[in-house]
Amino acid sequence: METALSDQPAPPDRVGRRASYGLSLLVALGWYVTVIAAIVVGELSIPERPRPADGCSMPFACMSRAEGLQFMAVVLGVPILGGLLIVSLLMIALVARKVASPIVAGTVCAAASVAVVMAAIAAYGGLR
Amino acid sequence: MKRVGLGLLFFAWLYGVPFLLIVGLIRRTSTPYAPTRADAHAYAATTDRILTWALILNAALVFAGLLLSRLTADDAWWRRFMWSIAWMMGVYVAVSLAAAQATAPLIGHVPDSDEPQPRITQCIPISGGTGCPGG
Repeated sequence: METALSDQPAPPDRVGRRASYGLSLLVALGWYVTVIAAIVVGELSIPERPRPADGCSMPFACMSRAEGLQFMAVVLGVPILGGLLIVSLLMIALVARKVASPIVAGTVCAAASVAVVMAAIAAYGGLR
Repeated sequence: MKRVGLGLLFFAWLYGVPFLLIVGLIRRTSTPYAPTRADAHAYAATTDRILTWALILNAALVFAGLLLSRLTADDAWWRRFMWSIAWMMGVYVAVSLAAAQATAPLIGHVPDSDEPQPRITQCIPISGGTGCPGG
């Protein structure tokens, strides 16, 4: 570190090269909230064919979009979101040391966490 | 106060534009229930409005931020909004890549409805027109 070797004060734009962990995490969480909210709003805004009076004896045969979202949230949402959170928490700890901006750190970590979790799901699907 | 305003503008852009784009693209790629052609047109009009606003706001909010941070001489936000231009371009590239995947245009596509196409069921002879089948 230059500042440690010399007694010169650091130039203003070199102060605080680390992004705040909490702020980076907030930015990453903001992305998850935004994407999930957009999917829910988008899916629920689509008009649906009225349910037929009969022919719904098969399970999942006549699931509405809202029911489909609830099903996905419970079956896939909880484990995937948990995985995303854990990967994000670890990744932000690494990235926030190198990147000065919490906005960049949080966004990169959110995108990278999605990539890691997708890869893990693909690997799990391939191994089965 | 000034910093709060610029921050609000920035996060409205950062999260708001992708939000609108995702909602619009989900609507655009779905098959809605549309009993009449008017329903299909109304659905398409809303989808087009969402996508158009997302594309407009993507650039407009960044330039508004640049302008406001210049006027208030806020160097930190000026730099942030300058960097945002790269992300803004990336959003446009991503949208045009998504648009290239579809055969129909991204904006201006009307989904099918359940209303049958009008069929010609009777022939009224007019002067100068082609004759009716069977005389």
